[in-house]
Amino acid sequence: MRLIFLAIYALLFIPSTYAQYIIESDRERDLLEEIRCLVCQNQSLADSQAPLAIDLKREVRLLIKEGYRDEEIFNYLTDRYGDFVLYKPRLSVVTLLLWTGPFLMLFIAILALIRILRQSARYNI
Amino acid sequence: MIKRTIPFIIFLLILYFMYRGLSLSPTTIPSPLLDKPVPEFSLPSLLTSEHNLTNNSFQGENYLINVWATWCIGCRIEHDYLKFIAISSGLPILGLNWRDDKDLALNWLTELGNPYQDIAFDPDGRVSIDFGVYGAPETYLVRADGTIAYKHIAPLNADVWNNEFIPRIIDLCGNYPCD
Repeated sequence: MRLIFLAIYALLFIPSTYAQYIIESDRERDLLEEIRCLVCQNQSLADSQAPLAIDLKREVRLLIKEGYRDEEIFNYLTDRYGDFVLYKPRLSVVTLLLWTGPFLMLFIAILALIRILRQSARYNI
Repeated sequence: MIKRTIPFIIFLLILYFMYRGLSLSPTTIPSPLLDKPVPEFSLPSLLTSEHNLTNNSFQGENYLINVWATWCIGCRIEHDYLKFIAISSGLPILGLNWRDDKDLALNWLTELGNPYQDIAFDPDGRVSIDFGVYGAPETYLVRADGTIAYKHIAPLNADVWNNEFIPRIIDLCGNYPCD
């Protein structure tokens, strides 16, 4: 009985990458972490062991070996699966608000803060 | 007065976006392949070892491409409806067998029937990557000039077929069934 528990406990510590696919280089890991697995959408390719993810990892490795630049590899994927496959959205007309939104909010907040401070200063005098 | 209403308007805006977010599905991803030519490919036929199928094999007629596999539960669900489409739509169906075992796939066809005019066999999934396949079954409507008119992910059924496919087929063929 104890042995069974021990065995189950030990299983928890087998890293999933040992199961089927071992990442070869830092660059490969960096790239795979930027790419979404479309089967299990909250996982990156680096984390996923879905069959399609393994196919795509194999493909990315091949492109790295053929000397593709990062941007070209991302293009290869978005040509087939669309922008959704990238975790970091690209800057385009559609995503402009997404990228500038936080800075706009900060700007508005600072303006509001200045106004409030000025007003309270006036009342204090 | 205006000062009081501005936060309320902002609140309503946020409410609108959140409410909309409830009905948006992250699993329906628009295909970048729409209105683009079918990706170039050359694969052996699952049915005979004598010939290869390419992106030009069905060119010159409107047709369907259906991605399937024996491990895919949704494919089993849609199979009967696909057979109905095969005899009633007037469109030939090109199968794309994805990451599958040849014997299992052939058994499936003898057991359940074959709706396909021909089937491209893609055991390592490389051609399916070029199609942007991520969840079988997937069905593409291809125009006679070889461009993709529509893509549907998930099993076909009467609802999807009548609402999404038939209007588009009428656009292509002029009537339904297509001839």
